[in-house]
Amino acid sequence: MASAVVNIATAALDWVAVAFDAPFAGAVVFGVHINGHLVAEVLLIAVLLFQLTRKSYKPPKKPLTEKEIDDLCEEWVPEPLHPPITKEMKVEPPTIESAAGPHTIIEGKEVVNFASANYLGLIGNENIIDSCVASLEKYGVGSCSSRVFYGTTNDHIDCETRIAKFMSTPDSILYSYGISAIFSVIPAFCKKGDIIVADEGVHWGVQNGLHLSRSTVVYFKHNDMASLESTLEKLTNKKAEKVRRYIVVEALYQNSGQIAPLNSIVRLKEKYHFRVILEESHSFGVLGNTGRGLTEHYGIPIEKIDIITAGMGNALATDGGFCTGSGRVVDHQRLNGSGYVFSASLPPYLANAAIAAVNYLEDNPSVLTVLRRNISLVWEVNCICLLDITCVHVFIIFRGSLF
Amino acid sequence: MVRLPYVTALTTLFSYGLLFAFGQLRDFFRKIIDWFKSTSKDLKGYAPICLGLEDFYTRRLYLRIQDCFSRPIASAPDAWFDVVERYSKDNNKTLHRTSKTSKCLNLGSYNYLGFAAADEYCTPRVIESLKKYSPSTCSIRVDGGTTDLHTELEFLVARFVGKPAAITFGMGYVTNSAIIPVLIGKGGLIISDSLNHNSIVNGARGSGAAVRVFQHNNAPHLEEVLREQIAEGQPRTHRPWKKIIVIVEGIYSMEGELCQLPEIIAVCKKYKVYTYLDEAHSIGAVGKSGKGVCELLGVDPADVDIMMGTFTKSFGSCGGYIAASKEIVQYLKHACPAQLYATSMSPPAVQQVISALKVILGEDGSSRGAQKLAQIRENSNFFRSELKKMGFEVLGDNDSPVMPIMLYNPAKIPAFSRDCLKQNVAVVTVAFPATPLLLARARICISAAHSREDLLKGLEVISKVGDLVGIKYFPAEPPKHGHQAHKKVD
Repeated sequence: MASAVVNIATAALDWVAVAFDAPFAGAVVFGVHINGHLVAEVLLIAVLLFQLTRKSYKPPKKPLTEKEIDDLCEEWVPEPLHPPITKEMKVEPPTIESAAGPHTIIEGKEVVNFASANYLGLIGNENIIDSCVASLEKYGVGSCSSRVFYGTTNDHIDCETRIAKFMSTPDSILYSYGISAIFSVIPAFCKKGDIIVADEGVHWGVQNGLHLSRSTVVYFKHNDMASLESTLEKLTNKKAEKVRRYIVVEALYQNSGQIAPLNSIVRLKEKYHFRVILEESHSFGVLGNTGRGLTEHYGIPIEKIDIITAGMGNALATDGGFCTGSGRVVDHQRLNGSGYVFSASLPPYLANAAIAAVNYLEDNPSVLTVLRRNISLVWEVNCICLLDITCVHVFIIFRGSLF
Repeated sequence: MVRLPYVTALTTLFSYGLLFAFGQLRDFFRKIIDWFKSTSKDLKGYAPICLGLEDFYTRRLYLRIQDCFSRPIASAPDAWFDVVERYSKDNNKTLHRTSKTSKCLNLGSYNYLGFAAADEYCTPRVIESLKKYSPSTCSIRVDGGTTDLHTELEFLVARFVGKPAAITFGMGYVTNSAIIPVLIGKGGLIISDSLNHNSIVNGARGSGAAVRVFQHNNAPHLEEVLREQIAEGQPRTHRPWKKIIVIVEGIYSMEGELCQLPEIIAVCKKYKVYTYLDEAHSIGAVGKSGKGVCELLGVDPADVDIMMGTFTKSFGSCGGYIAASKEIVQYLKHACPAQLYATSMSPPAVQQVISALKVILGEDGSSRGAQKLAQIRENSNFFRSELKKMGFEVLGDNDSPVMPIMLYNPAKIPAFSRDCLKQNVAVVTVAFPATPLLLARARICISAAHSREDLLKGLEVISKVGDLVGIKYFPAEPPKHGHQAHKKVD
């Protein structure tokens, strides 16, 4: 028995020795003789195959049981929907009892109104009210539909044409609410991956639009052209053909009352190939010799600004908003502007009021002279007190006629 | 639920495929032609406004059927209105108005209670308020934009809806987009129905909270999602959610279906989750006294945390409201951006809603309100049952004034729309992107201003056009029943 085992062992060893000594079993690797490398390699492969067939160690997955989920749901305590009500929150704004003109009535007393953005004094204008009355009798109040589905009346199209003619642009589009114009326009043109350079001091509507657009937003210091230039310089690395780039500024900032230096912005825009979106809610009907806004104020041809939006709830004393620009820009919004497609259209009487207001502005540019005179009066008289006044509306709100 | 037959699905896919192929071919030729023409110097260095296939749908599919949308009208959107005729010289790329109009039956406007045109009670009061307050207040709510009309409206809306307090806004879309971010922020969870409106989606995205979707109108699936989310907590950190809001709509405007409110409220109460109900289409239109889907389905308004609605549909005005507890409304008045930065609602529009509410509540001294509510319910149910009898595939529940008729195939959209217009019936057709690609439909909105003759005329035309276009997907009921219904009317 032992001899048989010894014989088998010897035979195996002989076989191994032959394998080691066989001519092909020797190898020279980097000048070092290695014998029997084939055997080693075969053994290695065998070990590898063995390991591969073993199951790898994974810690066992233990999903939550129904009872555990029930317990978690019972334990969970939500926060209340509203934070604790403070004394500040209980303060009610003053209720006015007449039209929000230069003089209005609060709690039976007549007061001078420095709060309404009634820049041209069109509240109470007879022509506008008469055209509204005619429209109300014809169309009722609401348009009861979206612009895409029978909510377009002849008045809407006429209003768009009138505004485009006034601004000397090819076309314009009406939105049913001032603030929805800007936060529909920005996401319609700026998608994920695009670059937007915006001023720090833009108002909530613009910020909301920037957030909804999902683009990369870079802010520059409020109304600081040096900061804008350095920001644009940093961002010109990407390829221009595939990435859309926009500068978003307001013409007259709602939060600070400052005016944007449009000539510098246009110069920078042309140098770095950015498009400009200009928010003119507070400057339309106010700046420029005939009220055509910031472009007229600086004498810049309107074709240089790609997209202009404005709310009509300020100088034009009506409601709603518009956006104007090239034909391509406006057509794109008719299917992609969410505030245009997914919302009811502007009530026809307000569109009529807008047409009447623009007609009045075009026929009476002298109202702007009175406005500017009133503004300079306030600056002269209150130059020291201005530091204490926190409400920005006082800087620029004066009606366009003597009081 | 929509049951899409296989043959229809295949033919619809084939049609879209064909349109896509033709569109690509035309784009290819356009590229070649443009390569020869040099681009203007002004646009060098600028990326085009639309890259690649972004506006492919607009250029190649939508422009072909552009005349079916944005049709201008020349009179109030009442039961019958004047549709302006348009012509095109360049194959539908641009449309021009003519001065000719055709009087058509209006089956497209949201005029549920018939307040769209000048009304004998509302219009004189609206004109009076216009002369007193002007078309606009030119101010934000907190800075001189709150008139006594606004305060009166808020009280009236709160009383009508059955909540302690209410707050109003100038536009329904802005109401959703501006309120949801104020109520919930980062660390919160919004669970919304899969077919919610774009304004809710925008509001949810703008809030910064996590958003999950549950299957349309499926309360068991909502429960499943809730259990999973509460147990998991926030993604990655697994901290518990700060709060959870479930957002549903009263009537879904593209399906015409009512929300399964009692079941959903039961689930939400069980898991201590807040509910937000958007009643844009249902307030004033359903329910015995027009108080919306809560009244119709027997849900106590106190069980819904926040009720939102719009004034555009049933009240013939514009704007939106939120009705909730006094504390929530006080907080919203203080913190909502639409109160702090947006122009307040136009005073004549406010007066229109006040007068309309008074008519509905019967406080104008007549029973017109009750008549209107009964009329719209009768009209909706009659129209829907007749359409179903004819073999159309009509979606939606009973009592809902919105009824979509399935078209599916893209070629049937313009065919149905144009043929109906030729026979003086104005309908609304909806396609991608408002609905899923394969499920194009025509959406009928019934009004209390429609008389029985109007409805019969509408049915006759739709039936004829339906035969021509081939959208009667179900077998029609034998004419004996239809004949009996006609006999009853006579």
